Amino acid sequence: MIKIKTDYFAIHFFLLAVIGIAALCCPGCGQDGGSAPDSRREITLAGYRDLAPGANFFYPASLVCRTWESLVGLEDATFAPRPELAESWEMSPDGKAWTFRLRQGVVFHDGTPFDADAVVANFRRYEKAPGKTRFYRFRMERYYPGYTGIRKQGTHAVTIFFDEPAPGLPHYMAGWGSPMFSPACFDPAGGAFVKPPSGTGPFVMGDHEPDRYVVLRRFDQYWGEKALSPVIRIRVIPDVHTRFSALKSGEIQGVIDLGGMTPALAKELAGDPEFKVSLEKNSILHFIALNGERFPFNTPDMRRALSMAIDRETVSEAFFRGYFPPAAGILSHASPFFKPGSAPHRPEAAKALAKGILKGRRAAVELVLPSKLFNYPYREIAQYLQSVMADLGLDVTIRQVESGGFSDLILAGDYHLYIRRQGLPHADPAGIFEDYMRLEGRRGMGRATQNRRFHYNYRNPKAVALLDKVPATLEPAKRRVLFNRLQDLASATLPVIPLAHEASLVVHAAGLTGYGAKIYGATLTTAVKRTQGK
Amino acid sequence: MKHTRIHECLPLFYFMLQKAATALSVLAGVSVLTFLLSVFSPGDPAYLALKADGNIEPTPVEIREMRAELGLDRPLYLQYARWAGRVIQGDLGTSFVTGEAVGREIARRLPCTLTLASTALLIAALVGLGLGLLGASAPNRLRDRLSQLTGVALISVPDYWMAILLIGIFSETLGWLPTSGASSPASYILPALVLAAGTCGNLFRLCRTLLLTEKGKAYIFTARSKGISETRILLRHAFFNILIPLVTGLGMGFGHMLSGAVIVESIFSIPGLGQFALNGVGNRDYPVIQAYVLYTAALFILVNLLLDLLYPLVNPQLEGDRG
Repeated sequence: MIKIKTDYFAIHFFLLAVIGIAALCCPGCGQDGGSAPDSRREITLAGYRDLAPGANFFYPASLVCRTWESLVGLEDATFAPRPELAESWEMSPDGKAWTFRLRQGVVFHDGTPFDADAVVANFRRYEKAPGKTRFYRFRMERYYPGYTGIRKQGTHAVTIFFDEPAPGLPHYMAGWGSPMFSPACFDPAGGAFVKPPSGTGPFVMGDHEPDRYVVLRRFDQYWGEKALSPVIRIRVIPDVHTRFSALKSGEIQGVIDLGGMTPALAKELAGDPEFKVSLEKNSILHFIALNGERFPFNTPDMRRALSMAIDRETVSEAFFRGYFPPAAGILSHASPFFKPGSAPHRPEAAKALAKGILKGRRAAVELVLPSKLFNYPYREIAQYLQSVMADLGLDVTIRQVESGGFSDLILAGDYHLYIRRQGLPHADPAGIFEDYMRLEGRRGMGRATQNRRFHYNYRNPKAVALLDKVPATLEPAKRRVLFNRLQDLASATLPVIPLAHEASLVVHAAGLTGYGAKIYGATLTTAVKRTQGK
Repeated sequence: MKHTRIHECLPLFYFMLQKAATALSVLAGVSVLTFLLSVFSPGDPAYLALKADGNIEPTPVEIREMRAELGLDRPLYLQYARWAGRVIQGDLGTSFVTGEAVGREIARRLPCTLTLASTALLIAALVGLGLGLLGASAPNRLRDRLSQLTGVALISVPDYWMAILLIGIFSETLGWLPTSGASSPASYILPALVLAAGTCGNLFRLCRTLLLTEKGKAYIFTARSKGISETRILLRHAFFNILIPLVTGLGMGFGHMLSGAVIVESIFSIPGLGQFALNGVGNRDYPVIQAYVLYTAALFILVNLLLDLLYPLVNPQLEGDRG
């Protein structure tokens, strides 16, 4: 009996010891939302991903964090270029050289002055484009097609040279295209960061725990309007429902980044006086992609029939809760070249058109969806399309495919249609037109466009003729005319079927003032946390 | 005296040697199988790595360059040999997507997963075994039925739903516990409860069934005839005799908790291994998948080994079986 008693306690002691040791083995489990020296003034926000992955990457933090700035910035409410670290710029008459006059009196966070030498050093870094993949990979050819070199002009001006006209350059450079970091923090030979990256933004990157949080501290030597809040903590909360609960419980004061809150959850909070919803258009367009190599979408009339059968107002209201407006064109509403249009809902005309193509018979088509939908209501939209297309004589089967293998399926053309989204890679729209309205890509796009690779198979000689004129058209007004004509052509002939324009949706506690959505991110510098209330 | 000690230790030494050899062959087999499954499953890791930043479509040139950079343009056997060679030297490779050393990522995330799983194990052991004892102490009476109901509910309620419910009650409404994160011991309570639920229910059923079987045995009648109380019989005699299957159940439950906390970690924003593995699979990040499978396999081997070592402690009659 004594023996039994001893073993009994020995076993329990062993189990408790294992658990205890395991519990003690958590030095890595530090704070992520924890206390700060001045937590009453500290603002805590949350997004779905780590917005500052660090010095291993070309961009150590997202543009959203405002820790670094570019030569050319983005307007808060449009995707248009605006002076940032460059005060002005001008193109040479032949369009092959651009001179940028730099802002004076600017310093990097490490105290290094910002001047022409710093810009040249950063361009040398672009040429090497170091950094890992996860976070916005930089590619010289994407932002500077035809780049041949850079030369400083005195202490506060630089000229960038190209081997062919580059009339859209400031649009390419805006935001992600011309980030500036202190030359003292990267290796001139390889371009990789060797010290904590220093930008010129209104915030300095403070503590960072990968995949948990990043702390942004106000930079008091900032050249522009200084941030009102001394500290902003951005937590990583991947699940949108948990972000919603964290906001309601007062753990965070607002959400940030793409998909910070779904339209449905934002609508729920919009009725609560303790929260505010802020909206600004962003660069993402949601649309239906069609396999133009397969019947029935190899006929332009069937594309038109489908477009006319869709009630975009319903899609916007029912699935995006009215936050994402209906789309009629191929270009995002955030583009400075966006031309508004309308896509009429004419179900009877659509049926007549489809009947002519199907000749009274029905056709089976497959709508494919990836398993990872990033909180977008694509499943629900797919079901809506299923009912709409049934009226056209198309029997839709919805097939959901594991996300990793989804791209293979699209590349193989093993589908009839799918719903997808596209963001603007930069503020110049030429790339979008090239990618969807041409089969063979121009320089900087790779040989095959999305139109060819993904089997959209849109062929239109008028589009090609217009696209051929774009590179040689240097005058901004004439470029705008060309882009307008391309948008009209896309709306009429439908390389894809637009559904809705996305908007940056920022939800925050009413106690957080000066915080709202921007075209890219949120207004961090003007945000202030009121001490009373949530 | 010295000779005797060595002689006593030899069976244990051979036992460990045999286990180590088996473990190595299992790990090698698992790694080959995982590699083959990864490379033959649809999805291009280079494309997915480039697409990881969201909404911009990579060009064919970028994809080609990335394939070369990741070594995916080499023959399969070379890719595997290169990876295996590094693993032997203690290097688990570099993630295709994050560019971080996989070993470092695992080391960073393991403490969180370990803390979560340990807390969940503690809860599962206390609640599951407690419910089992409660049920078996009065079969088919009210407390048994209530404990059965609780046990079934714990097994059948989906993790996701339970998590949302608990966050709603304890964080949103009462404000007692944080919704997410890994900032304090309190942060682990809700995720541990959710993670423990399934194991709790299974342990309850196992414990109750075993105790009821045990209660029908002759030595229990003898104990009763000696006038020993029911509680004492249950706790000191019957319960002790079912410890081996219970310890096995707990061990396996711990293994599952350590390797399968994906949903819980995601909902509660715990940067543990579950999320890491899930992203690795979704992105076809071969080094991450390989390392995670190796980790899981090693973990189960270790848990089994610990259980093998623990059994003789629980039941000294098994001491002789080891050799």
